[in-house]
Amino acid sequence: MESKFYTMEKRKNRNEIGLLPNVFKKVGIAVMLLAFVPAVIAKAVNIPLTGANKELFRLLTMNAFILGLLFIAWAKDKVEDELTFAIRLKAMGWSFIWAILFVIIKPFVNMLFNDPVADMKSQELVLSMLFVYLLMYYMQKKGR
Amino acid sequence: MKNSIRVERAKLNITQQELADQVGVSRQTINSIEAERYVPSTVLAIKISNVFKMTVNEIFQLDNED
Repeated sequence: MESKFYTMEKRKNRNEIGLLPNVFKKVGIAVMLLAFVPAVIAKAVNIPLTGANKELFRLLTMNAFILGLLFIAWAKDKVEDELTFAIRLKAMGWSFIWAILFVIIKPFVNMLFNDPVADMKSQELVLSMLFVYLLMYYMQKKGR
Repeated sequence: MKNSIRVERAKLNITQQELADQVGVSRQTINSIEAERYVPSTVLAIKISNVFKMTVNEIFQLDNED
């Protein structure tokens, strides 16, 4: 007898978004801690942190910090299932909305403090998005 | 979506963790489904009903808001 069910092409990665292995949470924390090493070394060997030097160290620290947060955000939990997948999607949604609000509101906040109206660094935006993502993810996980 | 997982679990005398292990999710996920905070996917609903040897409709039912 012919089956009344249509066989759908089996997709192995049905609910997967290419998350990193769980160990990357620890790697992320290590990278975040290492982010401060260049500044500490510069202080120890008396490299003056002024002008271009200061900007370079700031760039290195911020980038390493962002990379560390990305590893933490994108690493699998010990038990990863469809509820954590749904929670991740919601957290991404919140972080997306945050990014839009940040871009709209930040220039006006800058104006209040007499900073340049258009001055906005992409790193600040990405960093805040990662913070909002992690905050929303862990808050929702706690409330499940 | 209403469900009778808690009742069926009690009949079989299994814990949330044991049910979670059998269907491959976390205990918190089973807790969220029981508390009707989360509606499971079709795949998970079938897996849960298989554990209780019942049909999906016997475990999960639409309520007035659905």
